[in-house]
Amino acid sequence: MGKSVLPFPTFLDDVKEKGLRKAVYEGVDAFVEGLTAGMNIQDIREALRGEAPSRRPNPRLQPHADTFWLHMRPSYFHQDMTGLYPTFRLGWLSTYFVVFETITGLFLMVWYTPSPVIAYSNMIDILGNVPLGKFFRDLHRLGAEGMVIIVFLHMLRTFFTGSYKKPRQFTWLSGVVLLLVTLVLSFSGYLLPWDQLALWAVTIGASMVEATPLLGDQLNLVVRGGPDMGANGLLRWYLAHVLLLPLLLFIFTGVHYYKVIIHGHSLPPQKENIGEDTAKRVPLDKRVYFIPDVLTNEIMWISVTTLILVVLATWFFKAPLESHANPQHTPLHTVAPWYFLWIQGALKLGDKVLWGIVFPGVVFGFLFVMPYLDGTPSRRYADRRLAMTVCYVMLTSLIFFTYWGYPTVGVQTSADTEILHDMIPEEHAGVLRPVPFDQLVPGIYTAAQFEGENSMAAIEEFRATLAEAYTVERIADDGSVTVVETTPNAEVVALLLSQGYAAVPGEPLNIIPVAADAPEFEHAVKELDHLIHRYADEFENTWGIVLISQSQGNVKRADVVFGWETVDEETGVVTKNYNMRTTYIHENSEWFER
Amino acid sequence: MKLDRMLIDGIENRVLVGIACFVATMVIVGWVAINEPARLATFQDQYEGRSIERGAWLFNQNCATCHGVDGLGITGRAPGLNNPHLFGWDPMSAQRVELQTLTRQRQPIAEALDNLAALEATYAGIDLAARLAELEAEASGTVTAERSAEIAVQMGEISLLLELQPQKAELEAQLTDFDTQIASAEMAMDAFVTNNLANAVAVGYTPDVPERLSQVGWEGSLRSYVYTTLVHGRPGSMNYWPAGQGMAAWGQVAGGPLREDELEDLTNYIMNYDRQWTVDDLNAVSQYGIIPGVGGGSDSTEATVGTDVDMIITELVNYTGDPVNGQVLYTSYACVGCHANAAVAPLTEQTWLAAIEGRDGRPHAGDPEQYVIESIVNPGAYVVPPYVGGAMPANFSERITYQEMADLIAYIRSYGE
Repeated sequence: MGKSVLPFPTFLDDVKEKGLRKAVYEGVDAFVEGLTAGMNIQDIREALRGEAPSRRPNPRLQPHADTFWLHMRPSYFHQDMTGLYPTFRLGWLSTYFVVFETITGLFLMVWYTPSPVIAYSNMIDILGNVPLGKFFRDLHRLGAEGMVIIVFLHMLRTFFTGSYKKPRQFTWLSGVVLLLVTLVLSFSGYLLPWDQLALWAVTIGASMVEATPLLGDQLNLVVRGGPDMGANGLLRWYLAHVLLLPLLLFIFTGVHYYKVIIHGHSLPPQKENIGEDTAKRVPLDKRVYFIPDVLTNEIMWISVTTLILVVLATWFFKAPLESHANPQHTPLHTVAPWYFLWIQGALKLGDKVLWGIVFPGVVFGFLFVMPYLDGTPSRRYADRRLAMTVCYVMLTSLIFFTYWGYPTVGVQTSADTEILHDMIPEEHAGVLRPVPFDQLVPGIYTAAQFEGENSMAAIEEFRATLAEAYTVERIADDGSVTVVETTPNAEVVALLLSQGYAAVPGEPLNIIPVAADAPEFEHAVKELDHLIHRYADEFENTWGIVLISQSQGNVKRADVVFGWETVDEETGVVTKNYNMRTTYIHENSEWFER
Repeated sequence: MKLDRMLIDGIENRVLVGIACFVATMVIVGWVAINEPARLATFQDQYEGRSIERGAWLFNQNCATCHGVDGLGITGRAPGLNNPHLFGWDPMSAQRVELQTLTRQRQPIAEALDNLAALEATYAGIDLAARLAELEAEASGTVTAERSAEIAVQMGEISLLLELQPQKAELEAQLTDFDTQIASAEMAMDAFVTNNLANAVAVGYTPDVPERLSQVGWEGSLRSYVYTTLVHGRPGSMNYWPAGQGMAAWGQVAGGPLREDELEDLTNYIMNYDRQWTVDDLNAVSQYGIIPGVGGGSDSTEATVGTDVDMIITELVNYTGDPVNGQVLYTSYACVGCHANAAVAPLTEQTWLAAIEGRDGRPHAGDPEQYVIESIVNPGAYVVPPYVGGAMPANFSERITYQEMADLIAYIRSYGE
């Protein structure tokens, strides 16, 4: 048998010369060495066993010199930088979140169309028709919120260890850019599901932009794509979310990483003399090589992080999805994403321009230039009292403003609206909707049932109260005043008749007690009673009823009616009022949050 | 080297933790994936439920004023959607099949007798046997091709005639039998309509065309019929609904107020009326659909009362009011919508007495019947202070029949006497 006809030895020639086993091993070995740009199988084996490299020059340094990905990482760390302190791995985790969000985002992108006509039904398809669609959406949303937290903590850590000081000022600045991009990325993803949550959160954001002096109108048009948020606006936010902002994020991640390599990781402050920067001069005995120690450590970290995210997304975290965006209807408690609550809180303090534009502008402006303002050389905590004080003041304010930003804080909504909202919110399940379908037996129920020892007596008493006559004043167009005598019962009966309930005019309401085998429904009616008591100081003679009726065979209708009296302090005239809210409950329906 | 400050010392431990977490992640993802088909199916059910709930809310907001809160329609205003006719349920489908079978079986017998009668007329007074022999003899001779074909036809007809004549009595008996059966089936169906569907027929049910889609000649599915009607409304329908405003275009694409997803929700809700229907469901419907020029709708031959109060009073002598039916009408004409709420309109229970007492210079004081009739047919004639005129529809005179007027008066009177 002669040699190959080809002008170079082939694999078959190798087999003939060395035997199959050796030839295959050498081929694989050469492939691995090419793939790692310098480390063969034996080198990898030694590295993972924690042994010293057996050949010189050290093959573990070669990948740092020759590969793209590892040229961005130092080939060795200072021993003091490998512990949990001082980095807490937050920088590495931030980078991991960029990758994580990109991958989960690409998956979702395949199923999504940025159009108000179809975006929401795309979401429903992702949740109900795409295998693992809900899982990936939950992961993407969870990752977005996690990334905001991790990036923020990374910034805090950098501040506390003084790592922003000379020569790393620009590293800090590029980091603030990354923080901003992260926030806007997270927020821009908010709009894409085109639900009420999305539309109104972004509408708040856009109306803040509108407050900008001079350029407000133009900026508003740019952000909304027209006078109102619509197809153009959605397309813009989508493109920002999947193109512009990721591009900025990748570019500035590169800049940030480059600066980290150039200057080295700053050591814990107490390990250096004041004013010194020894990051790039690591003594031989303090060096921990990237391969294998730091690399295995980092891979372990992302493995643990991924597991945590997957566990949270599987059992604990559900990405919210509210009903279809409706520009004609503002939900009761419109809320910004939690990481922008501090701006929403600031807006409640006063002027839109001052608190919505100038204040956040000053905060971020201060963050940008902070390392250039703080020229003190010492990174030790004891020497940085002013900086620490400023930091604590800012953190405290952040907490205060965030609290103040909650929709229920500092905003006056009438208590009857609050009660009805708690019982039957526009979005989310509330109190009444989660009651099992079978327990919703058609009938009229009253919160008064739980007022006394004897529920039947309490119901009777309530019925009697409702039947008491009272007078109301009616003012005609010509200003003449007539006193009309009526009973709340008559009004409630009128209400029931107009809503299609079988009630008989002139007869008292047939109020029934909650059935004994309906514990969840009993809980719901009790909750109405609690709510009435909670707001008792705002109203006189309050009452509440829950009406259950059949809408279709598998659909029931539930109404909550809340009544109260108001007394005119000048004339002493008592007026009786009521407010009500309706919902429908299908036997199969579940709310996303459950 | 000792790395005592790394969180997990020892490279093998880190590798182990990393691999363990990776495997755990994959196990969880696998577990999620295994449960995914069931979760997807459940989600779709749940989401359809949510859609129907939203549809119910939209129906109550936008549709209930004309089609009724219960979806049964309102007489003279709009047809019921909670309606077996819309869903094509036919209470007499078994009888209809039986009738069709009988008609089909009767067909060949009737044809045979028709043939026989025609042949008997053709060959009346001719000795058939002799004629046959004659034709055979002629055919065995020399004849033209044309003549040969004629002979073949005539011989065939005569053979058939000879074959059928003996069966004539039997065929006639069979035909009579079928006719009797068909007549009795038809009578049974008529009786069924009369006995069980009288209420439905009175408000426009068409027993001969038991399905709305075939009635309107709709080729598509019921779902598309409902959806399309929602989107575009029913052009011109204000002309044939005596008390309605006509079906408007609801879809944003047609200039209406509802988004596409809302139209889907509404369609889901309306389709959810479908169930195991019964005859009671047919009779419960307050109003059936109308086809302009074809029929359906309420019985329009009955005269409405008009606006002449004196003439109405004269005419009403011939009618006896039923207060129970009056209460039903009071709801279906939507009177309760206002007159059960003192804040909006005078209360029903006070009207009769107030008219008797004749207080505050009301016209027709002491004659409550006249007062009530005038209030219904000509609501602007007198407005009780402090209410404002113009709120009550002025077209009741064109909608209410004498019997209905009598019933309504009986109902209102029941509060006063």
